[in-house]
Amino acid sequence: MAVTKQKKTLSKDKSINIAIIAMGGQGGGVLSKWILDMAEAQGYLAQYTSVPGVAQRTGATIYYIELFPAHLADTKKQNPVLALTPIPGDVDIVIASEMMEAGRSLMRGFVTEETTLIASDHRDYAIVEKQEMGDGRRELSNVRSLAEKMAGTYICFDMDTAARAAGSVISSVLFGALAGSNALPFGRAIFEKTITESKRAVDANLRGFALGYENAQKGDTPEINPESNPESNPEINPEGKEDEEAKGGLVPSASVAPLLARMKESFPPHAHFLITEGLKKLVDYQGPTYANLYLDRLKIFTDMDAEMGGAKKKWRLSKDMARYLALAMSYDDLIRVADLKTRATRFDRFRDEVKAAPGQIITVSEYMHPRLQEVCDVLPTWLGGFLLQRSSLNVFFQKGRRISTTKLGGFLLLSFMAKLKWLRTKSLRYKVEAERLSAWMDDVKKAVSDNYDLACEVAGLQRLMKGYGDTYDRGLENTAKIMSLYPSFKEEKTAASILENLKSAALKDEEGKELSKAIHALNVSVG
Amino acid sequence: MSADEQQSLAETVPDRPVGFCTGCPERPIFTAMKLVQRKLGEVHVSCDIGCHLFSILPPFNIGNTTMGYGLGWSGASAFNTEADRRTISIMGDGGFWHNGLTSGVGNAVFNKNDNILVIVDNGYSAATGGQDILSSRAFNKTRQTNNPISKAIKGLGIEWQRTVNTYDLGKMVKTLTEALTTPEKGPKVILAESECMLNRQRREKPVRNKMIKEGKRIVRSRFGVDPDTCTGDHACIRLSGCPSLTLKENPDPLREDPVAHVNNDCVGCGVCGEVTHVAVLCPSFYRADLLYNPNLWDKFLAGVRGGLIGFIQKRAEKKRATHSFGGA
Ligand code: SF4
Repeated sequence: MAVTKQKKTLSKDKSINIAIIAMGGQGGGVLSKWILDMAEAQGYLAQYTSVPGVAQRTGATIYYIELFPAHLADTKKQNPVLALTPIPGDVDIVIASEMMEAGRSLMRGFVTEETTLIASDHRDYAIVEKQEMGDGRRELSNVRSLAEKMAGTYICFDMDTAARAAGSVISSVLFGALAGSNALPFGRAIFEKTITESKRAVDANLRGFALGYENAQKGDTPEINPESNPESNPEINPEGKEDEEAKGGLVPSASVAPLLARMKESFPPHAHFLITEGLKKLVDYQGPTYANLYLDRLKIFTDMDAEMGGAKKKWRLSKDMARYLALAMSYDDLIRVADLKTRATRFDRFRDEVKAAPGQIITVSEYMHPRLQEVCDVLPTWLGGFLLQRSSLNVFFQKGRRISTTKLGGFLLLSFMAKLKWLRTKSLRYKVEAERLSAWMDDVKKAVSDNYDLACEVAGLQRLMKGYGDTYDRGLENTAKIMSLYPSFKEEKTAASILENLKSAALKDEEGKELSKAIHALNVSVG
Repeated sequence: MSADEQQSLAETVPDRPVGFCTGCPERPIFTAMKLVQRKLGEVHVSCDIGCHLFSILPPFNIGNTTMGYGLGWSGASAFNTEADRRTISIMGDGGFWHNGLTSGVGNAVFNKNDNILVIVDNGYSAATGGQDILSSRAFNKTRQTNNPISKAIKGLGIEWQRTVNTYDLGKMVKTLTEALTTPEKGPKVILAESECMLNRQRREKPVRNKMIKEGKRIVRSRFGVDPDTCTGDHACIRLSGCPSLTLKENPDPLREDPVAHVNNDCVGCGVCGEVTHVAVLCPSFYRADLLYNPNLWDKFLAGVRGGLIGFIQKRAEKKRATHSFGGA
């Protein structure tokens, strides 16, 4: 996205105040230094301040720069006193190196109609966003629209991507955008000279600078930001039309074609996208027969949905069940993990992810810690159950293991395990999961006739079921906690939102503090 | 800006506190404490001035008090009473030499303290930019370095002392557990050692790059997360907070929560792997060792491995292709 509002250049006869709102370690210091050197070379008295101790340490921080025209000091025969921190309402240029930090500059009152705001439209998530058990990422459409509304001049595009494209760092792109904003009374060549004279990573910085400059000069009309428009997702294909040609003319294999045909014939088109994904997952997980079982199970819910006039609700129940049922039926076990870890596609992916050069030799070690439980999980019910009772076996599972999938031993071991799929449907875990599944499906079914939205929320309980080992057990525990309360509120009119609240509280922290709070509040209100 | 707009910003723009650097050796100390507290219950933690004070911020939220530079242990001296749980105090090597040696350790010995001190020895006065101190390992032309802390406290009469490499998370968990539960009375000091990563990278990175350019055989490690086995619980993040460990959109359209992702700043400190093992997390983490300038044997071995593995993978792909969804 590139948003640009009209550009105006600041007078040469006035002081200029610049605030850089950034995260420690993002190169705010380098950027400040460039601005300082440039301004001094152009006849300004200049000063910059920063908060010591946050360099590299990723906290939100401010670098503040004041430029004072030397000729003014000369005529007045007096040196100016330059400030150490920005004053709300008195900042000419605000440079925000990330979108949330742009929001912070608005909150602090640095941006007015006189201000040029230069912001990078990318996200670097804060720890409070990252640490949640669900999706703690903040949605920043309000920052984007307020920034555009409040700033006199607004320049915004993804400078992180630009920096990567240039093989440079974000400070050079920000410097380029500052030049391109025309806010400072210096031409492009003067900016570039500053970079050249700094003598460090000159070529890369000039490339980044050029991208920043050009993007800031372009007066692009803003594109619609997908984040602010959640309706624009591809799942809805109301007519259910398939364009084989657009998909490269690839036809499904004979083993899965009947599944797709069955979906098209007897499932609501609104859910086709998710059902297709579900089928793909389950065929891959266990095979076409298993995927057919998925359709059998799902059919009950899509039929109910149709009966309840699901069209009015955009087929939410069908879509939710298509999603969650597929996830519930593809729980992660050792077999699955081994399978995913040994694939050729995965090998390509990790090479790409760690930025290995073409042909570069890399060795990959997997960090696994299978416990007795997980091993018994994949064994036949009787054997798994028997061994699970032998706690003395635990001594073999005390330590985590490092298995190298790029070496023969490790690879063969895991690819052997991946072949044990046939054991799965007879395994201990399968039985346990099947019981859980049917209890959950029953709850959804029971809820549908009274309260459609509530049924969807019950379906969504699956979202709590994540991970492996303790993490998975916590999911089970939280679900059980919530379901034990369920009878006390399910008749309420607001039952759906109560359940939704409980669920999101359960995903907030692992100690269960938020969930306890929510449960307490509920007990008080329901009595 | 209207009050509503202010309010909406306040909700979407949370604080962004500072945290431990990428690969910081102090991080795993607090990871260990978090894990120990899960088992043994909450402990009173008295903090000190220095980078380690970041422990009081998310994701660790560890620390009850801070008094001043080097005052970690004296800050908890009032808790030297009969209690069913010992306290843990923290002190950096800088704070230790500043005054902690006397106000903390000396005081604890003299008063027959039964509590625990963790001295974070990263080799420098790191928070202020890596200046040398008495116990720095580096040679310094104009100063007398290399005076180990262990010797100093031994001299003061600390009998129970353990030295643990901070990156050895398992050992740190064990040592903390032992210190908290041993029937042995008296002051206990754990020396948590590892060099400040920032300083180390500043020194090693240019050397490594030079060696790679010169054609020397070099291995560089970094970590990664497999997005298809990651279920988006972020337990790893809550036990680490490394800036390189972040979030990414889940590539699986069925899963709604973002997956963990290690970005290219990872210095391969190994904490991610240790956490996975010690806390028994998911099997999503992997370590990749990238080899620069391989020798003939490396190439031969990689050829054999790659050939066989590739062959087996091709066979598996072929089998999977019999259930292809085509373009659907
Ligand atoms: S291994 Fe983990 S903790 Fe260490 S630098 Fe890499 S991402 Fe950070």
